[in-house]
Parts: sequence; C-alpha cells; structure tokens
Amino acid sequence: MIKFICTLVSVFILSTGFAQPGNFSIAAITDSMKKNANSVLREERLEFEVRSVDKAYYNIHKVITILNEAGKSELFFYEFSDKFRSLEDVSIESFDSHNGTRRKFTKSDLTKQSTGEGLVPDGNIYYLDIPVTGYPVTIITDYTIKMNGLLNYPDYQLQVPEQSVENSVFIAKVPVELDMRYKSKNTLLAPVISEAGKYKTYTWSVKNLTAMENEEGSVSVESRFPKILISPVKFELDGYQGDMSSWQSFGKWYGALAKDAINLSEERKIFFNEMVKNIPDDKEKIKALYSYLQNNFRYVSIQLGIGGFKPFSADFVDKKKYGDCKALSNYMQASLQAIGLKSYQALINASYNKEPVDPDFPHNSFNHVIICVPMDKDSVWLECTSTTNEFGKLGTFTENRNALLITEEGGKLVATPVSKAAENRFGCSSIINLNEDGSGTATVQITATGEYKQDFLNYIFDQKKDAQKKYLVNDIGFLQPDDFVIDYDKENKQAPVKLQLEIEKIPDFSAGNKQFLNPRIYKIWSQGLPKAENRTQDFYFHRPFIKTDTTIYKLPEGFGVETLPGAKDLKFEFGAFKCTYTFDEKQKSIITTVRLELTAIKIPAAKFLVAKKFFNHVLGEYTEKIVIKKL
Amino acid sequence: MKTILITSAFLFFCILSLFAQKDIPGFGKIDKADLEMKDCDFDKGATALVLIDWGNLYYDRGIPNVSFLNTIYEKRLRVKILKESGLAYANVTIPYYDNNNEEKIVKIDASTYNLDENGKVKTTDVTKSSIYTKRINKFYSEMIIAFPEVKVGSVIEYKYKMERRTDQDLKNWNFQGRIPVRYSEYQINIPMFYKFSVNPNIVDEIEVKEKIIDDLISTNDGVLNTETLKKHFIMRNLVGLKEEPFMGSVKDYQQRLEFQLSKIDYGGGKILDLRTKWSDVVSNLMTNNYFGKQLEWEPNGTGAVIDEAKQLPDMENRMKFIYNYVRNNMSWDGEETIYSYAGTNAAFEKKTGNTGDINLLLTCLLNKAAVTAVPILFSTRDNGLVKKDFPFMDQFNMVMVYVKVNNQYFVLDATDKINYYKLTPEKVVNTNGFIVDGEKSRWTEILSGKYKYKVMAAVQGDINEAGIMTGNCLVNCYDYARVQRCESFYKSKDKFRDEYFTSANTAIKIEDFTVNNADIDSLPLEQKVKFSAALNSSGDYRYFTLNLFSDLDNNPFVADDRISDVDFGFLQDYTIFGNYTIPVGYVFDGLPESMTMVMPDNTIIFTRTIMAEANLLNVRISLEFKRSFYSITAYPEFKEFYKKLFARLNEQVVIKKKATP
Repeated sequence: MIKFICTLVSVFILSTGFAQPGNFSIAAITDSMKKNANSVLREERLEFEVRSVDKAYYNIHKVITILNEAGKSELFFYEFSDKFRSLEDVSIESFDSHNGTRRKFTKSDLTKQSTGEGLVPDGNIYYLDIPVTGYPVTIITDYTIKMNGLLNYPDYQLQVPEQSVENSVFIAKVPVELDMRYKSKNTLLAPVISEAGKYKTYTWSVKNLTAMENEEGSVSVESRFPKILISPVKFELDGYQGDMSSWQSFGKWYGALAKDAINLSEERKIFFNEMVKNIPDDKEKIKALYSYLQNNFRYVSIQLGIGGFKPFSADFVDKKKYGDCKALSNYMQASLQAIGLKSYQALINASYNKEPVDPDFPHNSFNHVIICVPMDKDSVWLECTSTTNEFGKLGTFTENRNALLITEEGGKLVATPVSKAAENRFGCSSIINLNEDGSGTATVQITATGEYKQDFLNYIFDQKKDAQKKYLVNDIGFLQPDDFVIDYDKENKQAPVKLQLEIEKIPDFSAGNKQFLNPRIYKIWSQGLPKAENRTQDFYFHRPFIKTDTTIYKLPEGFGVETLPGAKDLKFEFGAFKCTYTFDEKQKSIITTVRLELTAIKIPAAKFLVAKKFFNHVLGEYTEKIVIKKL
Repeated sequence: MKTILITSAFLFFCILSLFAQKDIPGFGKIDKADLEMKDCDFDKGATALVLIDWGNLYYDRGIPNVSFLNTIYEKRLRVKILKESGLAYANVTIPYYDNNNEEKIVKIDASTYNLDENGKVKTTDVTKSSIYTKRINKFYSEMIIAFPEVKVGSVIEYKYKMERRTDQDLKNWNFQGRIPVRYSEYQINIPMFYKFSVNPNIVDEIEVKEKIIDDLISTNDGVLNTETLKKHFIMRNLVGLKEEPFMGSVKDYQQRLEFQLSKIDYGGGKILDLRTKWSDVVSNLMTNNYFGKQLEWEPNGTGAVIDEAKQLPDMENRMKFIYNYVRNNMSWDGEETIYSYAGTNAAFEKKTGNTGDINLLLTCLLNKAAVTAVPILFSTRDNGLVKKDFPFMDQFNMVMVYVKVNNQYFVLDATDKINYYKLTPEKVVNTNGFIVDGEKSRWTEILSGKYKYKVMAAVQGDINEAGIMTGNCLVNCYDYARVQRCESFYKSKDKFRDEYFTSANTAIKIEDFTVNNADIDSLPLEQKVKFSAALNSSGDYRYFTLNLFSDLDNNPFVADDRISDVDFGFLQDYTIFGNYTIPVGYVFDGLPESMTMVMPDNTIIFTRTIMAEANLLNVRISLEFKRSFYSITAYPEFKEFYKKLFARLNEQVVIKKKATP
C-alpha cells in the first residue's frame, strides 16, 4: 500500500528528477530567470548567410525550456514556405522533465497546409504541435530556411514577452560588395563587425535577459520589444532588382512592379469622365469615383504575383468587380487618372496599435495599400477595401502612421492624418417614462460618426433583431429590454438610430419605498483599463472619441427625488468628463447630462496611471444612483 | 458480378435526368422577382438565401483495373445575396478528397446575375481565370470560385460534376445550413443490387418521391441492364442555423440525410451483407486492425507497469493506478478518434497519440492486469446525438473505456489530465454510449450519478466608516465545476483570477489569492481570496451586492427566439454564504427579502435567506437544479425564470447612517 501511495503522489507532483539534455537541467535556471517567465530561452544561435543578391540561408538553433502551461505557445512549431523560401533539415526534440520522455521529430512529422486567409494559396505553412505530458519541458529545435529571392532580411527579435534569455547570438554574414544595414530598436546592443575575405560578419549576442511582462493594450510586440532591424541594400525578388537603401529607391522598385497595371479601356475612361462631367469640384469628383468603387466592388483576398506585391490590373478588376487591397487601390488610381487627377498608391503598416515606420531606416514592414490624392490643401486619403468607410476618412487602422507614397520619382514617406476625437462621435438622448412598479418605456435616439458609425454598420444596420439586441445590451450596455422597436434610414444605412424600449425593471434595485436609478439606461463607458502600476509600455485605445448623452427620467405620479449624485467636471491631459444631474420640479423630471472626450489614441506609459484613474472615475459615475421615493 | 446481365457490348449513354426538374428553373433561368427581393420572407434579416440547392447522384463506368463502377455527383447551388455581410457567400470553396484522385471535379459552370439600369437581367459568366484550385493538405483540395460583379442584391449560381472512385460511399445531403434555404432537393439513383440505409435527421415536412426504372449503366465490361431506384428528397423554406448558449451540437438541429451501404446483391442469392446490425458493426470493429487487433497484444515495455498494478489487490485501486499511469505518460495530440491509426505499440513508444491510441492502450493494459475493461463508443455532446436505431459507425467520434469493478461502472478517458476517475467525462456525461463487448455489446446511458456542477462560496465582509469592505472569501468547486475551473487555471492563473473573481465586479481589489488542490483530482478546488472593495454610494446611501464570487454574473438566456433545447450537461448547485458587518452608527435601510422562487415544474429552486441583527447581516443564497435538460417548448418559462433570477441576484443591500436626533 505504501508503494501505491508513493506512486500517486509522484505522478501528480511535478518532479524535476529526470535528466535534461546537455547543460540544460531545470535546476540550472536561476530564480531571476524564472521571474515573470513562462519559458526560458536557454540557447539560441541564429545564422543568416547571404550568398548573393537573391540567395541566402538562415540556420536556426534554439533550446527553450517551457516552465508552465502559459508558455505553451512555444510548443507550437510553425514556419512558412513559398516560392522564395523553403524549409530544410528540420529536427525537433522534446524532453519531458517529469517523466523523462524524449520525443524526436523531423520534417516528415510536420503537417503541411496551404496558407492565405484568402482564396488562393500564397504558400504553405508547416506546423507541429509538440506533444508533452507536463511541465517543465525542454525543446531543441534546429532547421534551415533557404531563401531564393530576397526582399526582407530576418530581423533579430532579442526577446518576446514572458520569456527570459540565457544565451542568444545572431550572426549575419554578407558578401562585402552587398553589405547590409541595421538599426537597433528598444536596445542599445551593438554588433561586433569583422571582415574576412569576401564576407563581412555582424554578430550580436546577449546573455541573461530577465523576462519582460506582456502589458495589455500595448503597441504590437514587434515594435515594443528589443529588436535589431536588418535590411538589404540591394535585393532581388523574382528577377526584379531593387535597392532598399533609401525610401526613394525602394518605392521605385515597387512602382516598377505595378507599372503596367493601370490599363483601363478607352470605353471605361469615357465612362468615368461621363460620371463626373457635371461636377465642378475636384474633391466631389473623387468622392463620386470612390462611391462608385464602394458600391460596385468587393474585397477578396487573392494574393498572386510576386510574393503578393504585384497587383491585378485595373482592367481585370474592372471586369471582375473584386480585388485585394493592391488591386482595388490600383483601380481607384486608374479611375482617377482617367479623369485627369493624379494620385499615389501608399504602402502602410496597418493595425490600430502599430508604430509609424522609422523614417531613418528604410525597411519593408508594410502589409497594406491605400490611396493618397494630393490636393492644394490637405490630401485626400482613401481606404479602397472598405465598402462602408466615410469618404476621405481612414480610421485608426491606418491613421497616425507613415505611408510610403509611390511617385514617379520613387518612394516618398509622408504622415497619414492624425486621428481626431471629433471624427468619432457618439451622441445619445433618451426620454424615459417611469411607472410606479419600476417598469417603463424609453425613447432613445443615437447619432454616430466615424468608428461608431462603422460599429453600427457592423452590428445594427441590416442585422437580425436578436443580434441588434445583443449588441445594444452586451456592447453598449443597455438595460435588457423586454421588447423594442428599432428604426433608422434603412435605404442609406444612416444614423440616427431610434429606439423604443419596453423595460420591465428600470431601477437598478429598489429598497423599501425607494428606487435606485442609474444615471442613464446604458453605460457611457465600460472598459476597465489594465493594471497601471509600473507600466513600461504606452497604452493604445482603439479610437479617440467624443460621447455625449442627455437622459430625462419622467417620474411617476406621487414620486419625488431623495438624492441626486453630485455634478462632476474632470480633466486630464488627454480627455475630459463632465456630468450634471438636475430635477425639474414642474415637469417631475430628472435630467442627466454627460460628455466624455478622449483626444488621443496613445497614452504614454508614464501617464497611464492618470488615465486609469480618470476612467475609474468615469466607471464610478455609473455606480452612483439617483434615489427616488414615493412621497 | 458475373451474374449481372450484360446486354450489349455497344456503348450506350444512359439518360439520367429522367424526371425533368419540374419545380425549379434550369441553370441560368433567373426569376426577376428573386433579383428584386430585399429580404427572406421566412427568415427575416438573413444575410443571404439559398434559392436552389440541388444534388443528383448516380452510377457510371468505373476506371479500368481500379473500380467497377464510379459514382457521379452533380450539384447546383443558387444563392441570393441580401446583405453586405452576405457577400462572403460569393467566395465559394468546394472541398474534395483528391488523395489518389478519389474525387475529381470535371465540369464547373458559374454565373452572377444582376439587374441592369433598365431592369433587365444581366448575366456575367465566371471565366476560367476566376476559378482556382488550392491544395489544402495531403488529402484534400479545394476548388475556389470568386464570382465577379457581385453586390448586395445579386444572385450567384454554380454547378459542377464530381467523379468519385467509389461505388460504396454516397454523398450525404444537408438540407440546412447557416443561411436559410428556400428549396433543396437531393436525387439518388441506386442500382437495385446496392442497398443503402438512410439515417435521416428531419423535423420539418419532407417530400419523398420514389420509383424503380429500367436502367442501363455502361461499365468497362459492357453495358449493364439493371433496375435502378430513383429517389427524390425535397424540403422547402428552412431557416438558417445559429449557435446558441448550451445548445449541445448545432448538428443536432441541422436537417440532413446520411447514407451507408448495407448490402450488395450479386444475384442468384449471393448477398453481401454489410453493417446492417449493431452486431455486424461490432464484429467488423473487433477484426479491424486499428481497433480490435490493438486490444490483443501487450504493447512493448508495459510489462513492468502491469506487474506493478497486479500487486494491488483492490480492483478499483488497480484500475486507478493504470488510468493515472496512462494519462501521466501519454500526451494527447488533440484528435478525437475511435481508431488507433498509429497502433498502440507505436503510440506508447512515442508517448503520444490520438484518443483511439490512448484509450485502446488503456483498455489493453487494464485487461492485462486482470481488470475487465472494454471500449465504449461515444458521440460527444459537441458532435451531436446518436441514433440507436441506425447502426452507423460514423455517428461516433471517440472511444473511451468502460470498466466495471466492485459492482460499479466507470467511464475513463486517459486523454483528460484533470478529470477524477469517478467522474464521467464532461463531454459525454448524460449521453448514450455503445459498449463494444463481443456478443454482450450494447447501448448504455451514461449518467452523472451524484456528481454535479457544484460551487460553494463563503464570504466574510467588514465595512468600515469610509465605505470600504474588506474581507475573505473561500470558494470550493466540486466535480464538474472543479473540472471547468481547473482547465482555466492551467491555462493562465491570472486570467483565471480575472475570469472568476474580478471581471464581474471591477471595484473588487484582490489582495491575496491562493488556489489549492489543483493537482489532486479527488479533492474540490479550493480558492481563497482576500479582497477589498469600495462600496458604491449616493448621498447618504451606500450599497453592495450579495452576489459575490458565485460565477452567476451574466444571464446567458436573453435571446427572444431560440431554436435549440437547453442542455447544461449535468445538474448544477450553487450556494453562497455571506456574513457582513456594517459600521456602528449605520443601519440597514433596504434589504433584499428572504424568498424562494421555483420554476413552474419545480426543477429549479432559488432560495435566499436574509437575517439582519444590529450591524450584522447573515445571508444564504442557493440555486439548485433538478434537471440538466430543458426542451425548447419550455423555453418561454425558462427564459422568464432566468430573467427574474438575475434580477433577484443583482438586488443590493442598502445601508445608511443613523439619523442623529
């Protein structure tokens, strides 16, 4: 029996008794390396060797000890391959520390799957979910990527969130006549540079980096963590040679790929000229063409051509009425050109929390294309993949960034517009008729522009009634209606949205003869911000905005006010909050107003605590109740 | 096949579409009203609507030296795009099994229809350049059609012909999908020497037409003269399916037909009977290399474990020992299967495998150690209900182990690292399993027994003058509640804390948090919290909720319309004890009342007992379920009960400073 008990205990408590490979015993990991870490990079050696302008080898050797389930993502091995990139000599070994199991895998154990969220394959992904029975577990990975066609050199990402690093080395070996460029981001680490024969070698190495926390709401990992950007000078992809040493020359290369793509037929050119012939103003002309694009074309992700860089021609898009971002942007440019207006395609790194690309270091980290139409004042920017964006408004997906305009003279880096609070407005007014038993009806009108209008397009307009209700209750935070009628301009899908709500219980709660009402029947703000202590990274909101509300509660006969919350007027560097509560004795009505404004999308880390306090006050306001009482 | 009459060596082309498709317009013949349509009249607000879904399956000449007969599957689909979000239905993907060319798409036509400025129907054909093939993996490819000229209001249509190198596998037919379907018809043409059984999942009205015709089928040996069964299945106006909370599987609500070959009649009394009875399914399984054969040998290197287990005299302990050994040494690759494709030997050597590998290995080891264990087949709750009357293997999606010792039975799944051996795994509890045990094979209902989803919380809170509550809370989670929380806990301790302790009430600050027994599966998961929270206030009033740390935060049943039954999977039981003190000089101004509330059928009981004395408050809240399943017909009362329940749970305690005279 004793033996039995021992067995039971040892299977449930992770022991560290089994030997780990080489020098990678679990016991050798120091406490400081374990702090905040879900995994430890024990040893890494990355060797990138450029053989010629379009050929390179990248050898990867990694030893990682995963400490717990939260570090599990390291057990997922994946690599992409396509026409320009092949995966070779794969060896993956795992060592379970608690029972000594060793497993070995090669390329034939990997699952191959074609990639591309879109319709047509861009290449393949090879992957393996490394099986383990418990933690800690050590994984040794070795493989080579053979590159045949080079536009991007691999960047050296020193560290990822929640992983400490014992030893890591990155070696880039390039022919002297090609050389390469690099730039350190979020680190002061400098390479050792040596030259031997025809090759020049750059070596970066780091030791004993403690784990860094993953802070919610930060800028994307790749722009936040220590990293060395590495870029070619001369490059060649699919026979197209280029020069990355300046934005100008990189833009030239891109422009050459697309040079034959603007090929609208004469007939179509006449069609566009006819469309705008009675419109005197250039901006209005652009608007007419953009709305034609939005109403007749759809976004389809088809990445063909070289590495997804060459667009479908305007003629093709014209016939099919679909395209990806490059093809639709190219088409927009072609239609503008047909009516004699100059415009530029603009490469951009899209996503609300991406940093603008570094103007001083030409490097390809773009994933999207938009259109810029230069005007005397303020250029017009067009997002060509959206059928719903307002004319000339980009949204935070591509605002606040640097875009690379592809001009006749080559690339030109310019800033996209800064996001403005006034462009994202949410305005609501409600009149609520309260009954004695707490039930009531509410008449609500909501206006929305910018990102809020997009929300309505996604979740209200055209949706089924149950979906609309779900959005109103779960996302905007309305009280659960027992029945409701919704109305808006269905033809043009426009706010204002009018709601007529039947609610069985409007007060948050009742106690004795008193009823406790919320300041309004939905939440003006509901997002709690992540913890603010010792924050090191800037925080990104999804949008700056102005939200306003007026709510009128009409009290039932015989009721009076017991308590009204006090008015508030708060400000901080990036926002303001103001609310008032009044009782109109004559009308037997309580009127509450609120205005919440956030002026910036990015809050610097040092100011985040202030922002968090500000929004805690905003959250707190909703918990204060209006107390009414039967007299 | 010799006895089948071969009438002639000449080539005949048999006419297959013997009945014209009377009910539906032909390919390309578009009704203008469909282009003008703005909404689906039987499923308002749908993003797109299938106007016609038509399929036809028949037999044709096989490939010399490969197959005697092939099946040909013709398909036609016409879809109306009603909403912006329905545009996605104009990007069509057709997966096909092209391993060894098993399936091949040979003809494909597609068009988009719009109304032009003059209100005339304008047809745009899809050219070859808009049809792509994409290899998905070793076995599957996809044909992709990107329809041109598609906008809201357009109708798209495509048809294709698929050659399939099989005479024994019929394409199943789904009448219903995510978007509504106005007309769906499946036609099968089966030579009488094949017999198929049909497993229907049909609730609404279905029209079935059937006749037997004289048929000629060309083969590589000449033309076959045979009688063919022609059968049509037609359904109309089916609403789109959607996911709903606690619905079991969407598949249970999807109206469809599944087919399985049961018999081949070679003539002259020679009949090959295939899988028509459960006993046949069993004997097939037992001789299957990937199933029954795997139970026969002792995997290399397991001798020591078996010997060690045999030292334990108590059979239940012996079973537990082997179960724990397997689940602690074998890593599950995430695949739910019935068969052990790699074989238990190879799986044990690699220490990894799918459900089939691991659970057949467990069965085998138990038997070698003289614990009687047999495999049991399940369709997990997510995979949908099984039908006992239809002996179709493909109803099942995983195998577990059924053990009977000391007059108790156990259902074991060694791929599960959390589950206690006495607890029937969550994904199959309260469903039917099929025990594979030779002649004693049988169905059995797998019940939860006394095990429930059980949460007990005890909160102690002290409120001070400044309106801050500080306190402790102890939450114990038993059985299925333990399993669910452990899953979350193992993923991330921080997220676990947020999910169960702070997300519902942002005012709560956790000062200390410990979790015990996560590694001891026989004990409840114990969570201890030290917290503080600022009370909300309005004027002289302060208030707080009694619904703390119960995990009953949001009402999942708010939808007005529901299509599915509510299936919790197991019984639930929540109890919260609360002990609160308020500062001296304060009084309770309003208290939620002591009360009991029950579902009309008495299967859910909510009680709240509140006692206040001076500055002490004692609370007991309990919610007990006596059923785990509520049929859709009971949904109106069920929804109403939930609405009231959450209104009650959210009631607050109000305190106020005593008025000084």
